[in-house]
Amino acid sequence: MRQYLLRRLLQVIPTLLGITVIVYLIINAAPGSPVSGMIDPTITGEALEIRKQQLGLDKPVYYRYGIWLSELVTEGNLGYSTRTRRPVAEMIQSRLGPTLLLTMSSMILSFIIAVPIGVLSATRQYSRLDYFFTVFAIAGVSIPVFFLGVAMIKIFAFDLRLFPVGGMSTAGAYYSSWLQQAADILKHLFLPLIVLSCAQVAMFVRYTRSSMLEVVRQDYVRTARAKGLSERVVIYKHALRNALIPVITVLGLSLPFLFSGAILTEAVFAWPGMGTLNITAVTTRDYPLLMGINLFLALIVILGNLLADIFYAVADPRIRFD
Amino acid sequence: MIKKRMLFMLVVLFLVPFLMLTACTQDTAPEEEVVYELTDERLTLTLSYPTGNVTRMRNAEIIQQFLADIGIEIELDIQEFGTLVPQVYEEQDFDLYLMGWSLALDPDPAGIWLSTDSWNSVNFDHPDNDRLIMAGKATLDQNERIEIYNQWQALLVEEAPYVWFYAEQEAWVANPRIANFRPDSFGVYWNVWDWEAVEGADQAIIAVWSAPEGKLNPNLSESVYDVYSYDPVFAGLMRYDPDNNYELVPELAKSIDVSDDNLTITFELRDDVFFHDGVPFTAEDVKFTFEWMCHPDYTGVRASYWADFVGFEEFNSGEADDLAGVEVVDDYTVIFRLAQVDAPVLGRLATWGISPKHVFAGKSIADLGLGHPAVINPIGAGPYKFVRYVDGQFSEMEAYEGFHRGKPALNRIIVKVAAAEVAQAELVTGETDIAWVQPDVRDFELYEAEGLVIHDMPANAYQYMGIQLDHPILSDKRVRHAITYALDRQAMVDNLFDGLALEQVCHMSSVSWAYDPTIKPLPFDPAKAAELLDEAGWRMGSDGYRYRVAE
Repeated sequence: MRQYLLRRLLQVIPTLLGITVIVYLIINAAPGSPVSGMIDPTITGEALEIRKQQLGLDKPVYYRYGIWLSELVTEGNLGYSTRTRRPVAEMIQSRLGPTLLLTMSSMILSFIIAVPIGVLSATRQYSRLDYFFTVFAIAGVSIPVFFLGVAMIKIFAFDLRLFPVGGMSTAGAYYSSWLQQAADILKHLFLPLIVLSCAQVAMFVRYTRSSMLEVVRQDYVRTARAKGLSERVVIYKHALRNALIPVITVLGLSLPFLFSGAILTEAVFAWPGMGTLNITAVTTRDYPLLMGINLFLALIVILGNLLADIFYAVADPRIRFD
Repeated sequence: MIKKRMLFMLVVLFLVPFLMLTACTQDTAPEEEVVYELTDERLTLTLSYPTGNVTRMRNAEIIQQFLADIGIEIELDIQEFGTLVPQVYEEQDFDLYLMGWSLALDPDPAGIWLSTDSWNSVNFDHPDNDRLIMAGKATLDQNERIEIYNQWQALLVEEAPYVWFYAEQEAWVANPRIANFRPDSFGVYWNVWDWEAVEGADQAIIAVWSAPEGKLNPNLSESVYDVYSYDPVFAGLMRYDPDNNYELVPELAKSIDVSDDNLTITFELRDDVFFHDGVPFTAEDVKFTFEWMCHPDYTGVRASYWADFVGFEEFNSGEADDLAGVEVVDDYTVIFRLAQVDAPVLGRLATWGISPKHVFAGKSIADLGLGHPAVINPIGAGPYKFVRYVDGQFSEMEAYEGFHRGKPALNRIIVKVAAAEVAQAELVTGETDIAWVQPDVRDFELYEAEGLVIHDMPANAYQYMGIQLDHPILSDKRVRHAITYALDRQAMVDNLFDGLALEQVCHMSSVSWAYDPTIKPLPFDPAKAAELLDEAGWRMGSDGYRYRVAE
């Protein structure tokens, strides 16, 4: 196990290096540059040239990549955003909290809701309940977030005025206690959380259901039933564990989503997370910020896969590492 | 009502056969039928335009239709904004393109139109153009400048390097609980000191569409969202008075004295001004503010504003340690010396927000550009103190009790980030007091029904189509004129904006003092356009498009 882990961790290094090279080349191949958004007739061409020099854009791509990599390796410095000129690490850090709050809570909520529904659907296949959840799942996956989001805003924020329209907290608020602050954030979190969870619940329900259906047909489940175990124990103790393996895979694969942010949901609700930061970085050709975000996400993907592999072993005793 | 419509129908019914008849008789009696042999070179041009601005995207299709009516085939080429910008302004690789300009308070068009300037994307190069632009910069007399700019605009209309379309309106919507909110086309905060919260409110929440970059200092900021977030924190030596033809009135200075040759400007400063941290404001702060921007290590993009200062080159290249053009005579007297008269410079330097020297002294100028705490938490001498900036969410300002004109009436201003739709909804729910909105007739009705106040006005900006002057077809002035004649701006204003826009005639904005209503555009006249194209050797083919006439 330890050796396996060590080997996997060592593999991370060349993978990451390859990813940075490819990403660096791709974002630099995109037309435009960090200064091309600066359309202001009072800024002279000369000033733009100076800005390009300051940003090192007059150097060839490989040279810039070399500088970026050596800064990263020797000092752990992700560089400065070409747009805001603030440290990339600091910018990512300040947006990570809001994004994790939104995506993690939505992931946990959808998992808690979806697994029982999926099991129920599978054990009562073709029942009314099953059809109801199937329709719900298809609807949930199909309704685009920007539509559902705006509809929720219209109903709950605009007409009923139960929840704020957007943002993560009341602008300019001072809190007398952390409880008050938490309440304020929860109030703002509610609508985006529901919107984001809708699609995820639907997805997890489908995975759990189909995987459960497969497992309950297995011999060992029949054996368990033959032993005279109660249906509850058969399903939840024997079948569910195995049925969850594909769901864990999906969870592991969705890990980067936790960190990259739900771009549409964030945009609709003006949530100050990674999604909006990422979009702005792309439209303004903010190379260092894009590299920072991509490197971070790549790391998460790799670690997510590793974690998923380890959790397989926990969920399924047949899997052994050597 | 019904009668009127009937009458109209009757008139139309009679008119149509009559017109058809006259058209037929003309057809049957041709004066002298000349048959042109056409080549297979069709009159086809590419119109490039960016995504993002929805009305502009719709306008591209309107243009395509109008030009098809006179036989010009337009291929639409839609590009992501960041892709099109370098293609237009750096590579100048286009036939026709759609973009817009936001203008400054001073009407000087040098940045966009001087033949040497990089923003002159259409390569407009005419000896009178540069001469007139330079002449317009060289005097401070408004009447004289209007005269010069009229000549220059007549030249532009004649040479047709652009087709000017429209100036959109811009609109601020405000909750009436913020009294004395009076935005104008040049800014929103000019009278922030007069704002007042009534009906139990004690703060104003302003929504902006995008997060500021965090360069919260006039010397460094490059985004309008940053300006919204810090502007009331800083004060200049003078300020503009929009109620009085934008004349300069004293702010941190007591008086201004401009020498007869317009080259020496002397300010007497107030001696009762303190920065928000309690340190007195002196002439040293003024000098530091400008030295920062002229410094060789300066990271912003405003250095060229001050290139006419005496000694700019020496200081900017690092040869001199002192910017000779800004002289501190004593604590409360500062003299600016210019090497040549450049009309926009006076207003710029007089109103530029002054940064406190003591806050930045001893720090490296280069580091100030890299997210320095003193920049993210600005200190100035303006009517509002900066309280905090929460990344991606909001910034907060608080009334400064020590402001030299007295404490502002409104206690707090919060500038928060909210996407356009969120801001609109929040105006109605009352979570936002003030927001900039896209003008829309139906939205306006909703705001009014909710008792909100709409401040709409023409923007100091315009939308246009740039024409590639080096293009083999478009270098022919007759073709450019034909395109201009073929486009109906009034139809654009009516169709795209329900009338919430103005026709743009030429470069000068209708809100500028340099605007002269006597400047006339080429009118909408498709017949004239067809005639010009015929003349230029492009004749109508059987498929409704024009082809080059064989020699």
